[in-house]
Amino acid sequence: MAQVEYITIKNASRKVLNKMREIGEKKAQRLQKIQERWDAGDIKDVEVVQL
Amino acid sequence: MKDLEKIFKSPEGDVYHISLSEDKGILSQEVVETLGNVHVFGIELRRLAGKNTTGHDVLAALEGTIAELFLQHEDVIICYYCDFVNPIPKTKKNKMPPQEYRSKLFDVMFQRYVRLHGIEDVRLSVVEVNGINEIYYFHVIYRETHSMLAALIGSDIKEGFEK
Repeated sequence: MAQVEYITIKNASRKVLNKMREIGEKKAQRLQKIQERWDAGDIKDVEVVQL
Repeated sequence: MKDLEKIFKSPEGDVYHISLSEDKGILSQEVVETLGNVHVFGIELRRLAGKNTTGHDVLAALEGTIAELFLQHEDVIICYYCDFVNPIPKTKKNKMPPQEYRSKLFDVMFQRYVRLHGIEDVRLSVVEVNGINEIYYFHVIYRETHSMLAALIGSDIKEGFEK
């Protein structure tokens, strides 16, 4: 059994595409908030690892 | 089950933030109920500073963080939605959409990690959702024992979102 499986949903409906876009936009907003907290020096109590 | 959050600073000075937190928001209520005691964790990853090419040491650290949460808990499925908004530094414009780049990179990272660590009972499903002008990518990492649930999550994207 292959460890990676590829599933393609072709010609997805507008409803499905809208939902995927909505999820992506919400995620981008959350990532932007993390950036703003970092820029403001407001990320505390997080493990920082120097590689 | 506790969320996991870390910051990595590369030798070149780039800063990366990764968090894994429980997130069933992407799933329909029907699937959430079927999952029972299985926890679905989402990955959020952002470069906070720097524009250097991401090195192997950073990728290995990110892989290790994901594996740390996944391998310590038997009843976890990990979902990764590939961000299409934020660009990838140092890539040519129009060469590849950022979500496709992230999807390919995540796939490579998964395959490298399981090969290096001899892990055989963990699987990755890469779900590609195609529209006329847009493509979205969604990854699901799961144990063989959760194959049915992972398939359910995949079909939920197609059918659950229709409702």
